[in-house]
Amino acid sequence: MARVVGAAETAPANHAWEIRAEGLRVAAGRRMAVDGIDLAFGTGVHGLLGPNGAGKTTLMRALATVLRPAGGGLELLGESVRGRVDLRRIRRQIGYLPQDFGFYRRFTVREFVEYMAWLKEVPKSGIADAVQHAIEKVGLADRADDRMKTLSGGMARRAGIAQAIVNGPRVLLLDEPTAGLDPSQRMQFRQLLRGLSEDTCTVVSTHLVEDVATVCTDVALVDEGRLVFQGRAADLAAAGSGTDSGDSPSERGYSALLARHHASGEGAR
Amino acid sequence: MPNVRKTRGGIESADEADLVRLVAKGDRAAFEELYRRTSPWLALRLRRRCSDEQIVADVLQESYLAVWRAAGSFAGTAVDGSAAGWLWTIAARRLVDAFRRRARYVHPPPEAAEPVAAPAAEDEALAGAVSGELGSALNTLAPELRQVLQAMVLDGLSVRETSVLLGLPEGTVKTRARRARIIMREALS
Amino acid sequence: MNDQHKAHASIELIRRYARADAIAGEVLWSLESHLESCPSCRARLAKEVPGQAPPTAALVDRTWEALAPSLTTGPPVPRRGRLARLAGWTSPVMLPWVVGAALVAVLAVAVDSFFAVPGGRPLVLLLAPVVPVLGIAAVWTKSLDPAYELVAATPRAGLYLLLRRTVAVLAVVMPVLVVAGLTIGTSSVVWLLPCLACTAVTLALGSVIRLERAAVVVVTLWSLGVLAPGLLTSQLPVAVAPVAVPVWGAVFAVAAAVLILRARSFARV
Repeated sequence: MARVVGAAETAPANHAWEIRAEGLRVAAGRRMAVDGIDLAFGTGVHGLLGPNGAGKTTLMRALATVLRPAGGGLELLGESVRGRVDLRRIRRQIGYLPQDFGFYRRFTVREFVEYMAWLKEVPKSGIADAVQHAIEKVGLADRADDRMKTLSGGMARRAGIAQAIVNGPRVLLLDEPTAGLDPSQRMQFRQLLRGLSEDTCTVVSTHLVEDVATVCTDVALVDEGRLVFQGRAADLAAAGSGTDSGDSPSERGYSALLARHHASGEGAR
Repeated sequence: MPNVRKTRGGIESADEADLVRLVAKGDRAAFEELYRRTSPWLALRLRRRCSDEQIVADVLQESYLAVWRAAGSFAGTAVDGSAAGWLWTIAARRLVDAFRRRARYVHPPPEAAEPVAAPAAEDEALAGAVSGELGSALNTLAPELRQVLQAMVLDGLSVRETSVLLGLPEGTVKTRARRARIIMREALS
Repeated sequence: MNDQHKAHASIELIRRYARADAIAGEVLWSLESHLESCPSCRARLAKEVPGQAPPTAALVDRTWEALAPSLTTGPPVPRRGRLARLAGWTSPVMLPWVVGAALVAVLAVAVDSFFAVPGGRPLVLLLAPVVPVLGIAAVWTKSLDPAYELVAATPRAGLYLLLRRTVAVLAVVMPVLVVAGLTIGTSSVVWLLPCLACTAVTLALGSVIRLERAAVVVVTLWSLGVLAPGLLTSQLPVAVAPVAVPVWGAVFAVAAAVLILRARSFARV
């Protein structure tokens, strides 16, 4: 298995953050769905929290390099992805699960993940193992050769996670990954996230506060295209008080921060 | 391993690449033979990189299960090279992953920590015969540099995987790999 | 690995390796790389394990015991569908469109041979240049492709994938057109260049507006400018006359140049 270690491979990294956004603005149709967001995400699991329509999905699509930012700066792995740049090198290191992700129904799970591995330029000799490994990690090993159309919603989402991690990404973007998962699958998903978090920058977008409270190293709260809060999950809980609505400290913190943001927005107008 | 020797004629003489091809067709006896031939070596090689016996057992099991389950797609691409090298790659990836899951790789791998005995004359002969100049060049490397080079070159891991396996920051792995490259280049020229 | 048979490891060294004794670094390196490439030394090692390293022998046996129950089901029969094999060149959703385009050509031949009007314009000649465009429309179309968002975020997305799929369309449609052209006895050159030019113009236009819209524009222009006059009058439209061939060559060159200049615009949604 001896191989040649190239100079490029051992060149020092020049970035402190896997994801860095400065005054990032991204349009969704005519609306500026992300309107001046500053973010810095390193390795670990980051929760991107916010009500529906807050701009989470637009932000995730920009981070996935699918949407071109309308303004501000966006760096992934130390490289700017704003202008007409070559995205191939960066995209090889990204894993992305879109919110409503589609797939080819007649493919088997293995074929689907293999196809995605090919699209992500995983070296040909490593595809078979990378695919098997990814499928095992999401717990679909015994369904690997079943067609996608035979899977339940939760299983299809796990297949979606498998394709996202098949290239061993450094930046993993999961948009509402727990949608359609039952409680035990959710537990399993958190377990999976913990295993990945060590050397990956994972961003999990969700509208469920309990998703982030348990696994995320830190939380970014977005509302109306702006960043309301970024800090540790514990700080989120600390922001709330007994009078705020919610069933857990994190939920109360969440509603307190949102209410405060709304109030300041009204005041500014 | 009960029943392992009860294999059909022909399988005993097949080489490992042939065995993988047979496994791809669902041949359980071929899988047993592949396991019998390669698992002691694989287990020992893993043990040299991981002192936790339970992790080694898990990795061994996961690796062979993967071979059995995905043999169909493996057979197409993997068998061109050495079947053993290919097995090692599968196991090494899973070992790194096990370390990631445990997230507590505070163990220094055995050979970096223990005092290294001077090689006996006949061992020198093997080192010289097998890898020629490489062997003597390796000799000049400090243990911590050799360890990084071993993970990357011999074990075929990436910088990132090496950093997980050895419990070092990626930056340190890169620095050591660069230094090792320079020393090796000087020694070989 | 070429020199694997020059020297084998001594039995003493193999025993020390099995016992996990300390071995000098460069010797260990040589031994391990030798073991990887030498089946006979691996066999000698395996033979020594029960005597020298009982714990490892026990571990190997235990692992086999643990594996055995999973083997009764048999490995999933490799069912690599033709669909997945083709995926590198066509997306599964393209197939109906490509087949449709080919059918249009076949239909045109049928019309020409059964309803041939003496002195009329061969329908094949009038249709051939836009037949592939029908297939191109499905090459990179959001509304047709369920996995569009997933694919869009991968390194292979963009012009590279587009051209691969275009080649696939042409590979299916062109032979049909050539055969069709032969049956009615027209020279292939007359329609081949307009055909390539229309394809290139569609792709180039697709870098500005969406590809399916570009296809509609090209087909509409062709219908109004060439197809309709050709059917309504007894004149052979100048567009498919031999004199137009250099013009089509120029159109193709310009469209190809535009396509290359705008290559990166396909990398994003």
